[in-house]
Amino acid sequence: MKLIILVSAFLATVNASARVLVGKEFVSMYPVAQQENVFEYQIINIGDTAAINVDFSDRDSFPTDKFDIVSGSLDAKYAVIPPHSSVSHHIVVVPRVPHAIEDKDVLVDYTDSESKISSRVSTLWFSKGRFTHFFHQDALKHITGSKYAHFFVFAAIATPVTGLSALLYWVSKSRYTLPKRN
Amino acid sequence: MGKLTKEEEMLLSSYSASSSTKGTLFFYVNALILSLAPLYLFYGVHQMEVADSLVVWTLSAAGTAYLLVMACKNQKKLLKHQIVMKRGPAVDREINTKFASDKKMTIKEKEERALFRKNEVADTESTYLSVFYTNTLFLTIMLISAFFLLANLAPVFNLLISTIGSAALVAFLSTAKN
Repeated sequence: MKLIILVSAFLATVNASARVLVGKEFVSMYPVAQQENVFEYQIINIGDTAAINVDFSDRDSFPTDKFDIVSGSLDAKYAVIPPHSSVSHHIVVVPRVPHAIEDKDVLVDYTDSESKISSRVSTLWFSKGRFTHFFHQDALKHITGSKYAHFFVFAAIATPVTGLSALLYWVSKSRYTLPKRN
Repeated sequence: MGKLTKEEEMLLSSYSASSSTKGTLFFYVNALILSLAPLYLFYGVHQMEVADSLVVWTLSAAGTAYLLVMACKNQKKLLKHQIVMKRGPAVDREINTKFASDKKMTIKEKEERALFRKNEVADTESTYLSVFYTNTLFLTIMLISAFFLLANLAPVFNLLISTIGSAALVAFLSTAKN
């Protein structure tokens, strides 16, 4: 996201009007199906005037037949974003099945407070052709799960024959050992 | 030199270095279990996939099992004679108590029975003790090497070195004279 902002800032022409940039970031550790996945959006006004009637939309990224929206909204409106300031927006989604989904365009429409010129900014140049793979929960367990369970199973396989040998030796030894006389 | 009787042959075989059929079978079963157990650990912890690692796993299991059987047999040879000496008096006492009321049995027969029993006891005990000793040594070396010494190595090399290497070390240690 920082890259988007930096490149956009570089490309931005220096003028006095409001200039809005938008970034989208996956905040959760891993994208996993049937679990909550958090996305963060940052809308930054790098211009010298305020941006008004800022209209944010990321409706195409999370089709409702594939995602449950747990919190946050795929649309948001901000009356004003002051110059050289930013707003953050979060959404929490739960993918219904493990799948790869193409990152769609995030759109932000805004109007410059002084010139009243409306503009649109998007993440298309950055997100086009990119996919987010929402993995199965078992895949996550494989990565982050506790290793102790595997060691317990290993012990359950390896120790009975070892323990049994020790036990049988001990039984035989105690049977055929004469008590020591003082 | 006359032909040996069946009893004499049995007595000789019990003193020989070769292991009994039951003992050998136990060694093979034990080696099979011990060689397969680390594979599960590598599947779970080092995330080796079954389909990708089948050749390496087979190699590791076969090598480890062969070396463990060899280690157990060598260890048994070392232990058996020590155990015969230790268990002698207790076995003699057991035989004497058992056949005390049997007036028909001669002293020579009692001595022969005691000798057979001593060898039986030594064979069984040395089998169990060699399995316990070999397993404990192998598991300790294997776990330390796989999860501490070679933890950062690629799983394939880690598996081969830690399993076959540990079994080879145990087999080597079992060849000691005393």
